[in-house]
Amino acid sequence: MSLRYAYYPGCVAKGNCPELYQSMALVAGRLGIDLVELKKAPCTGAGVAASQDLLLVDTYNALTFSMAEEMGLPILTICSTCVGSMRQAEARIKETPGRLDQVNRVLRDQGRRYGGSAQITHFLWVLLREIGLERLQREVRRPLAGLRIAPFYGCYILRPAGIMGVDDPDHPTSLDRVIRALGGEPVEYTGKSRCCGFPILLENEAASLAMTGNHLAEAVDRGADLMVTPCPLCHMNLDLQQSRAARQIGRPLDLPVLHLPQLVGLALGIPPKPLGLSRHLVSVRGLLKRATRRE
Amino acid sequence: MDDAIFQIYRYDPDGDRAPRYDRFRVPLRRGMTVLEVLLHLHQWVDGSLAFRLSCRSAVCGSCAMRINGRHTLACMTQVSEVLKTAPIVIVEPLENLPLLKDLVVDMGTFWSKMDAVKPWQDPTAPSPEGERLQSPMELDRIERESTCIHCGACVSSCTVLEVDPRFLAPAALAKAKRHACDSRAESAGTPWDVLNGPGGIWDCTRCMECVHACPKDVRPMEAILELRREALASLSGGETVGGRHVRFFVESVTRDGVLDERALPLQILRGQWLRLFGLIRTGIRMWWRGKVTLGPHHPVREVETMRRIVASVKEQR
Ligand code: SF4
Ligand code: SF4
Ligand code: FES
Repeated sequence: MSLRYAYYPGCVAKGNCPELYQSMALVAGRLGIDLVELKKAPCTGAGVAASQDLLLVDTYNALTFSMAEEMGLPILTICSTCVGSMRQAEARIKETPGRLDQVNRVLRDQGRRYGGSAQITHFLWVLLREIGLERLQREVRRPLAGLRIAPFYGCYILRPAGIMGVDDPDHPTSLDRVIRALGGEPVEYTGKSRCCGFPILLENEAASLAMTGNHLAEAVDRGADLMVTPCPLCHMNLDLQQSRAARQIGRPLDLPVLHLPQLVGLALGIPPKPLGLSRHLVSVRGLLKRATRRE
Repeated sequence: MDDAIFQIYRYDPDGDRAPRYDRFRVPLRRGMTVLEVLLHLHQWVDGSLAFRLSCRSAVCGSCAMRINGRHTLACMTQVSEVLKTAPIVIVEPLENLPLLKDLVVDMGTFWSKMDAVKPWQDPTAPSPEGERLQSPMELDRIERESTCIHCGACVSSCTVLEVDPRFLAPAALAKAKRHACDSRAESAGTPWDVLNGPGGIWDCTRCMECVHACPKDVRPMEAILELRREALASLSGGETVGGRHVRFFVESVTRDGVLDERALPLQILRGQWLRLFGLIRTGIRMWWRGKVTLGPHHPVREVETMRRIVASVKEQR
């Protein structure tokens, strides 16, 4: 069965985290996922633009939805924030009386129309529901055996539960199950469903860094060798800001943080270099040594 | 029906050396709520168990606590529902508020923060002859926040409050919106300087924990975003770091279709040299690792469409 998607990588995968874009392309190839990139699609608003203008946010997203409709494909993202922002916009357009007409009145001038049938999914959910954990397990060439992996979900892929609908936000399991299918051992810790703090890094730096630091520290205390996240915005705090977070909470951290496609890629036997593992600020070298020693 | 195992947080800061969990086996009746189990235990097993209640029907807001990690009302939670996804029921006090005993927390800061947002109407115009009328649409705008029962579940769940006690937190901010957006007061007593200040509306991470927790579907985060929109549209919010962040974001997306990530922090923190220095250092490390390049920012190709969309949305207003 071929899986084909209108691919929405999101700005972070094409900006601050190019290794995410790069690793997803490789992993999609291995798993037979056909990604047709939405090259002209705009930003989802990323939760930020909603602080200024909801109609604008809905219209941005309706523009993207109309492009996917034209292709006749469901949308696939590799970003918790994108999938959340798009799904929230989709729900608002569906549930607010008159909203669909309103966004279409704007789109009409651009020669576009949104029919109201967008389907939006995340790579994590595709692994779970379309590929299936059994098949994923069969594809594993280099099991992550013995590695203790802390899942970090990110807010937008969990809440609000009514709109996201895959995990119970209080006890999410999807990422845990993927980790297990790849041969790793998921680490249980309370921070996994909490907020990384990234959205207020500029507004309240101390609080933002403390959030990130606390979750990383909890994972370390539970014996994690690494952390994995389906959200590149979380990655920007968990990895990029990790050394400052460590200073903020007054203890060393040093926990490598991988993007979900990188973790899958490793288990599928793709070498670390093309997966972009050397691009993280927290070095993965020690981790890779440990992983290969166990082989 | 079978028995259920309850594991309940116990701590009396005045006498106990450390908190502990007590385990109880409880005979279940059909439709029994967690609160009914607590009442049963209090009456028949351990009279020293402390918790709050009054209405038993999700109206008074007294019985909020954590049940298997969920911040919610004990009287609204059926034991059988909890046991669908877990083998036992773990009951703990609310977080982010000081503990008094067992499941009872001190709501003092909850109320002082409510006071801080001046949750009352302060009409400046002279009183009308008759009533102050409100259309159904105007009522709609504040209806959700009006149903808050002040239980504190959202405050317990709040991500930011956990690390910054100054944060006004979801309940008080939802209350602020309820008054700021009430059509009957030309000027509610809303203290915008407090809302725009440290610990105010711009400190929320939009994590939606409070939306998930609230037993009354008040959706405090959405209220906070509405306050931000108000602050940006009409008031002083535009010159806060948060306001600048939002404005730059929307401008950037309007200009290029996608955000210019590298320019954003530089624009927002302009003038704050020490903080800029920290970010630039991270930027250099990113460049060193090959994460960012120095080339120009690439707009998406339909930028013209984006510009026209923005203009057209403005027109619709
Ligand atoms: S959305 Fe904002 S107010 Fe609500 S819990 Fe998260 S940080 Fe707190
Ligand atoms: S907003 Fe909801 S959770 Fe928060 S105090 Fe009011 S009723 Fe309780
Ligand atoms: S006892 Fe009143 S809300 Fe639960």
